[in-house]
Amino acid sequence: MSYNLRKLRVLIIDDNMPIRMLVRSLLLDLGFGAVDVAATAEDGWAVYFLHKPDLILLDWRMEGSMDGLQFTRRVRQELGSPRPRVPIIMMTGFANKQLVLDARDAGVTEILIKPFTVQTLIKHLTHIIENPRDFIVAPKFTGPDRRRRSAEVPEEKKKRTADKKAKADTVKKSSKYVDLRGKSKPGKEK
Amino acid sequence: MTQDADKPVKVVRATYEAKQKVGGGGFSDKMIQAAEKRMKDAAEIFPSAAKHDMDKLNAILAEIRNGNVSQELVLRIKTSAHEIRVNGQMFQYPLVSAVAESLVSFCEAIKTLSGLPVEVIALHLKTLKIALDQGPRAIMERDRVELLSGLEKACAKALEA
Repeated sequence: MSYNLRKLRVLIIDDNMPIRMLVRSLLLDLGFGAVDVAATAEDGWAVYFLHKPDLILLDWRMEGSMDGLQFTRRVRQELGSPRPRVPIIMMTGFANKQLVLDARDAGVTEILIKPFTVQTLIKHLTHIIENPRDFIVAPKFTGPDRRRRSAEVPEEKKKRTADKKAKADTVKKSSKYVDLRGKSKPGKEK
Repeated sequence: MTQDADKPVKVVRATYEAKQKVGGGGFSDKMIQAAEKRMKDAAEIFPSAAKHDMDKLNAILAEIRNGNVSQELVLRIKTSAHEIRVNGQMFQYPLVSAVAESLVSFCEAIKTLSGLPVEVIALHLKTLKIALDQGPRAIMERDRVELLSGLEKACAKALEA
């Protein structure tokens, strides 16, 4: 048994037509029921109102009067926005720290760094389906909670932590292990 | 304290709406394979994907040749070149990606938009066009290295001048 993605509607906003169409085709291949596209954030805003998508993928830099961050802020904060808590994945080729902070501040749910693989795309989509974030409405921030809840630690991370612990236990059991954090202080050994 | 700051923070718990709609089980292997194949075959559409940014770059170059020397143009060149670099990697066009990367680095280093630097930008655009026309991996490794080393020398000369 696998996901029945036919019930999900996605909106893609990207001013680069071939990229837009490639992402659309990928999502349809993965089984999404309806994938709408828009070439500008302004057109995307109209489609967003019309279809109220379950998920939005959008480019950061776009031609027109609105970029991806401004679009996200409008979705999150504008009065009358039909789905202010909709998950938003921002696609970008610029992976610097400031962009990540700006995107999070605007209310982006996930950041998909280009070039991306199908597996990376799936990873982000799975996160959105399996680990949806709480939503914060605060004076200075409206958007998904940036902290992941402890119960939502991804399986990979859980496994890594368990592996580390097992490795540490093995070292402790070995004859060469010396615990340097003992009670005695330097210079006080007998 | 402002009036806004007095407003309480509201936390809306996650609703698992998407999960309820799609059920469990993850993505189907068959569908993942179809998407992987689509991505692999996407190399065909790269020249048209890159055309969008190539057109932007050519328009900026025309502006520079018409006497506009604003530093904002350098930023615009860098942005479009960066898009081509990233998409080149995604669509398996390593040479295009490498030439675009050379252009990004050059834009980060130049101080003026006149004389030799402009010719080096034009040279990059010409090389990008050739690399796009050649298709993915169409250029032999030896030629690739030679081409990139030629661009590197041109960049160094323009920066020295």
